[in-house]
Amino acid sequence: MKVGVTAKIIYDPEIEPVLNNGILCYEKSKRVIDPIDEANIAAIVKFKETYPSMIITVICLSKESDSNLLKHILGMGVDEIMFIKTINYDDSIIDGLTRAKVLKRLIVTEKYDLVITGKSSSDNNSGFVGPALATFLGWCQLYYVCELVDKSVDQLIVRCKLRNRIMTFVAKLPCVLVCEFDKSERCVSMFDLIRAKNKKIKVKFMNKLNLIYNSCVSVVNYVGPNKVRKKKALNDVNSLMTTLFS
Amino acid sequence: MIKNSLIILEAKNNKFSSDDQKLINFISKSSEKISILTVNCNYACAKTLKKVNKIYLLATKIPINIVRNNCTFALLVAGLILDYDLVVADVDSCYHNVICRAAAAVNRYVISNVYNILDDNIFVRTIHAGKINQHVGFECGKPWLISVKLSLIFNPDEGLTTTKQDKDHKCNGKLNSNVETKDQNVGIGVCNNIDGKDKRTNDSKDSLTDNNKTVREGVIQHEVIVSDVGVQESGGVNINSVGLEVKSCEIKSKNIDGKKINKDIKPIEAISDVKYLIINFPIRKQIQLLSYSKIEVDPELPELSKADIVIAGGRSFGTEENFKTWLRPLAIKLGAAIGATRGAVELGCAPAELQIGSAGLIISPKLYIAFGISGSDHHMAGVKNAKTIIAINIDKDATIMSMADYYLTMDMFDVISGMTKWLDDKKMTNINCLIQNLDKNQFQSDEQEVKISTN
Repeated sequence: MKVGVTAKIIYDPEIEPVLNNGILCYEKSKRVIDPIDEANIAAIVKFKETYPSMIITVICLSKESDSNLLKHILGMGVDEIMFIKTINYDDSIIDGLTRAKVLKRLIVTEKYDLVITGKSSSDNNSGFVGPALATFLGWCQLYYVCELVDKSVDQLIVRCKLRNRIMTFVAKLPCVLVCEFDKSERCVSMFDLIRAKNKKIKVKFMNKLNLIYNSCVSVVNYVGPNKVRKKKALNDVNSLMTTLFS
Repeated sequence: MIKNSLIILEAKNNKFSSDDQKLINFISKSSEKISILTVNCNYACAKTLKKVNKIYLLATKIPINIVRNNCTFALLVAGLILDYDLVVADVDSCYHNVICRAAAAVNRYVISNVYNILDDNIFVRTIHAGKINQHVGFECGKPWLISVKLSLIFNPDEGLTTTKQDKDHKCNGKLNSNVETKDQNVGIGVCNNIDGKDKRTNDSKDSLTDNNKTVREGVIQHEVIVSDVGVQESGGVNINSVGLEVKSCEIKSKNIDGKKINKDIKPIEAISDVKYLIINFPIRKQIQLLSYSKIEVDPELPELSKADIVIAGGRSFGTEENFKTWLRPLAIKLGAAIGATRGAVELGCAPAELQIGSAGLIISPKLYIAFGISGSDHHMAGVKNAKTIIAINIDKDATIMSMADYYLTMDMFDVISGMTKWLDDKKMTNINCLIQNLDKNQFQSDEQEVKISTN
């Protein structure tokens, strides 16, 4: 079974972006693999321990300077990486619809049986790629997937968590899973990186995919004003409760 | 002004929540007409919705499980959205996924996390866990699709609040280019393959071309049977692309409540000519459901993302037992939800679902009380929209003290006991009454502030 896992490389969500003359300034921010996608990769690698015949490919659409992070992904235990370079395009202006179209091309060409995407990215939080990809491929789709339970030749048993419900489904392959796995505790060691040294990184160029781009949405960023707080000290509980509820 | 909007809502136990009406109220400020596509809802339940012009009811033999039937449902939505200018879902519901799927079918993008609409085509949303706001406008033709972050809408009944900064960013209905403007590269009009069939929307801006595909129209067709008045009329949906046959029946109700309404003073709520259309929705076993179970949730506490009052604790509680024993009784008395910091979650004091912050939930309650929380950037990003912040910490130099409306430099356990005792002494058992008092006090406080600033 060929499994494709999408991974987005983003600016570190822990570091607050600042605006410099209205432009988002990322000078001090490092690039990281989206934590949501990292959890997905860790979960599928763990699932592979039970089913070693699976071939896991991480599909990553990003700029060339992010290629150093790919070794970390290989160290996590995936079999190969498909790196789509966005030469001449700023990574941040490529939205979900474009990503879904690019991914669809590759998934059809490479004949994957299962595609795993994150519930949303940690930066723009749109959650668009997974559902759109399912539509473009004409595959069935499951979302809120929190656990991979079992697999057979042409089907997969997965668990979905939706608010206060847990549902177990049998999904026929091929399918798209929009996942939100728990963060893995496992760290990539030096040994993992050495072991991954001979694994493949396939490189594709986005500008050679025969797609012409036009703008669909325009975006203006600004920092929202922080509410001015009173910062008033209270002496005791009584005055607090009287201020609030009396 | 947007002419015609479609909102997708699901009734829980054949009842709509206040959040559903909140979503309608929010959209009604920017849209002339509102249609609702209801799921798991009957006529009586649909009647309870206000400010609505048309309601689609799905006729099914059993309740629809959207996770299981998302493919069929998304195709139904894709058929409907071509008749609308704006299609809306709640970003925190599973219908966000549905509209994303439907949007791709008609070659559109979904702007998510919208919490304000400025003008016809400027949607305000947050990114980077609420740290950055964005004004996003569609560059393509209608239909436009958005998913709304309800918890960030402050007071929808007072209308959309256009802040000074918001206005500064507007420029004749177009996005101002003196700040960062990004043209997101997207193709309009590419043919999409759905279940083996190609389809495409006509758009003058169609430009992302895919040479391997051809254009075909007519995948999604329309057909309506008007049942009660016996007249056939177009406007319903018939989706043939996957072999579905969806017939629609219209129930015209001239005056639902049977009341005579003066047109001159007619409030938006009192729409007298609401159209009801029934769509037969075939439930297909696309995905087999093996088992179904409910996660135990505390029935006495409200949902964290929707609560008016939130009390939260940090790692200073030490253990899960301490966290629960101290916070739960107070939460029940206040009708509050319990939240936690990342530190508390990592220490195992609270489950991950309760984490507030940039990597957890972003909340906007009326009152947020932080017990023993230092106030890291990560955590404060999640509560910065709270109307009133109370900080209780023994450390007077804790960061949160300078970010709160009121602070108490006291031991948090003494404060929790004191608050519980105060509520008992005053016999404050009615939570609605507490919230009303809180609203009143917050309003008075705001008025005082305005007076001081004008003086």
